[in-house]
Amino acid sequence: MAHYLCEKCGKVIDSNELLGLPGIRCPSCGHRILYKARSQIVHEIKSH
Amino acid sequence: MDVEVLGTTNDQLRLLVREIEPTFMSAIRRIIMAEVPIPAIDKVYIAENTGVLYDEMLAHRLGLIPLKGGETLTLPEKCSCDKKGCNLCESVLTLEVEAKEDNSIVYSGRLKAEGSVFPANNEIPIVKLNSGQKVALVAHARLGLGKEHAKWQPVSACVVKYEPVISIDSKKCELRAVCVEECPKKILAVKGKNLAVTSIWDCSLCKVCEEVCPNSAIRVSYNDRNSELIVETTGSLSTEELVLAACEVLLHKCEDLKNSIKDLPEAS
Repeated sequence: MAHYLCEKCGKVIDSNELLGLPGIRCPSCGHRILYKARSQIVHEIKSH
Repeated sequence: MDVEVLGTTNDQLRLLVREIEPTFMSAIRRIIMAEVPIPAIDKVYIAENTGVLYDEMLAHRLGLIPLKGGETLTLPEKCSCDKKGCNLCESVLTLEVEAKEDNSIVYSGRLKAEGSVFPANNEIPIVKLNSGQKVALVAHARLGLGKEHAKWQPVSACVVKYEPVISIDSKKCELRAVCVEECPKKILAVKGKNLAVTSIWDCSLCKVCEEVCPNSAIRVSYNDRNSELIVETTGSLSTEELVLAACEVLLHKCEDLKNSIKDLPEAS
């Protein structure tokens, strides 16, 4: 599941919480700039 | 064959080998560059990276750091784990850092060795972080060969140079010293009433002296029976260890060939 961060209030938002909203906005403060949060899964990166 | 050390420093060795085939010297040079195994970081697991340098670039930069202490490791191709990675063929390093101030540089010295392998130099910059930015990762180093990737190349320079031969015709030379001034390596000098070569092995065979001499009194050529081998290490192995390791690899190749020929069915 993807997670987003609100640029204004810093709240971590689950992508499901965004589905019911009109457009992309923070469910708690209504700010319209969200960042995609880093995945919790650690991937192997080949050092080429 | 006759070997002489022309010069040595911490990271450079200059060997003069007399009466040797140039092809043999080239074989040693190529083996040093491509077939002497050294450790390098190959897999990186990044838990946190809030810096501006993205994960792949960070992993790439870590891979290029020369590492020491891979003597106890085995090549993954020869390991019993079948290239999956185990503690016999891999060594772990960790990095966990949070910047306290802006523009702070994380150096290779911050890599903490969990196994036998550690950075050869502690002053290689990895990433620049601003205040509060964090990097936390686990890196797995393994042995590899230079022909696979340049990060496993143990030398920054490995050169074979033929012996320069400079012949000066004193009857034609008018001692105008144009060649003395024009020589980029400054190896010519006027001594008394003669033109002399001060250090023959510094000659780069550029032939500028030949071109500027109005009387064609100087001729530059080379003798390919005598060669100079210049080895400049990145720090993973010492220069002496590198030359010896290359000889071992060449010896194993010859033995493999010998054994393969022995195993051939006899021609009927």
